[in-house]
Amino acid sequence: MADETSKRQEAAVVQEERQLATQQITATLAVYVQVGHATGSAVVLDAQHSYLPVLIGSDQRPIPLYDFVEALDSIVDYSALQSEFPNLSFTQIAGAIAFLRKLAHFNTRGLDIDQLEDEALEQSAEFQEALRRAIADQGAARVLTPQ
Amino acid sequence: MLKQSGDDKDYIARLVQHALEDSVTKAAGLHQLLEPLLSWQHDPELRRVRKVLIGRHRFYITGQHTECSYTVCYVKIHKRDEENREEDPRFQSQIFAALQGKVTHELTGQSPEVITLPVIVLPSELVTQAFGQADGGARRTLEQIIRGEIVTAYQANSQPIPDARELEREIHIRLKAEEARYYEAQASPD
Repeated sequence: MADETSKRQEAAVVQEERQLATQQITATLAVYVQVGHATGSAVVLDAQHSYLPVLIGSDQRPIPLYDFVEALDSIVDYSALQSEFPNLSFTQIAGAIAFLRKLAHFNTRGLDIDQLEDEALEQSAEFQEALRRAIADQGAARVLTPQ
Repeated sequence: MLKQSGDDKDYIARLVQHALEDSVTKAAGLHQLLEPLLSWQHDPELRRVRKVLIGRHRFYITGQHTECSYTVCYVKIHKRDEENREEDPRFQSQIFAALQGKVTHELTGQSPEVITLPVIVLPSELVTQAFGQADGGARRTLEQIIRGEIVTAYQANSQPIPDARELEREIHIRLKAEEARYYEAQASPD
C-alpha cells in the first residue's frame, strides 16, 4: 500500500517535471517566433525540424542558423572586433560568438546538437587510439590528421 | 592539415592569443573555452583531452593553464568541396533526421528510420476563434486536427504511433507555436 502511494507520488512528480519542461520549451519557442518575426522572418522556425532556427537557401534546403554562426566565427577578424571593443579579450569575443551559436541550437526536442555532431567521432576506437598516440608523443608539437 | 584545406586563416594565432590570456594563477583565456568530454572522464589518458570549437573546426587539446602549456593533439576539420557544399551531406541530414523525430541509429552508420512530420495548415477561422476569442471548443478542434495529421503521418510510414505523452507534447508545442504566430500576426498585420 505504502509502495503504491510512493509510486503514485513519484509518477506525479515526473509528470509535473515534464509539464514544467514543456512549458519552458513553449515559452522559449514563443520568444524565438517573436524574434524571427521582428527580424523579417529570414530565420525560419518550422515544426518539421523541431523548430531549429534555419535559413532557407535558394535551393530550398535549410541551412541551420548555428552553422551560419560557425561560418561567421571562421570569417570574423578578432583583432578588428577587438579594436571596436578594446576592453574585451579574445576569449570574451570567442565566448560571445559561442553564446550566439548555442542559442541557435534551440529545438523543441531538446536534442544536443553538439553531442549529435561529435558523438560518432569521439566514441570511435580509431579516433581514441589516434589521440592516445598523440598524447604519448609529448615531445613533438604537431597536429595529427585523421588519415 | 588546415593549410591543406585552405582554411588555416588565423586559427593558430587565435589559439595562441587565447592561451596568452591565461596565466599560471588566472584561468581567463583558453582554459575557459576548453570543454571537457564527459564520456572520457573514466579514461585515465583521454580525460586530459578537452575540446574547443573555432569556426566549424574542433580542436582537441591537452594541458592546463597551471602548467603554462597546451598541446593541440587533434584537429577535426570540417571540409567543404569545390562547390562549397558539405563534403558529407549525409552528416547534416542525420541531424535533420534526429530533429524530425526518429533518433535511432543516426550516427552509427545505419540508416535512421525517419518520419517527416507534416506541415499542418490550420483553418484561419478556427485559429482566430481559438486564440482571438478564447473559444475552448475551437481549440480542442485544432488539437484534434493536429493529432489526426501526426497519427496519419506515422501510419503512412507504417511506424508505431508515439506514446500518449509524446503525442500530447508534440500537439502542445505545435499549438503554442500556432498561438505565438497568431498573436504576432495580430501585432503586425502587414
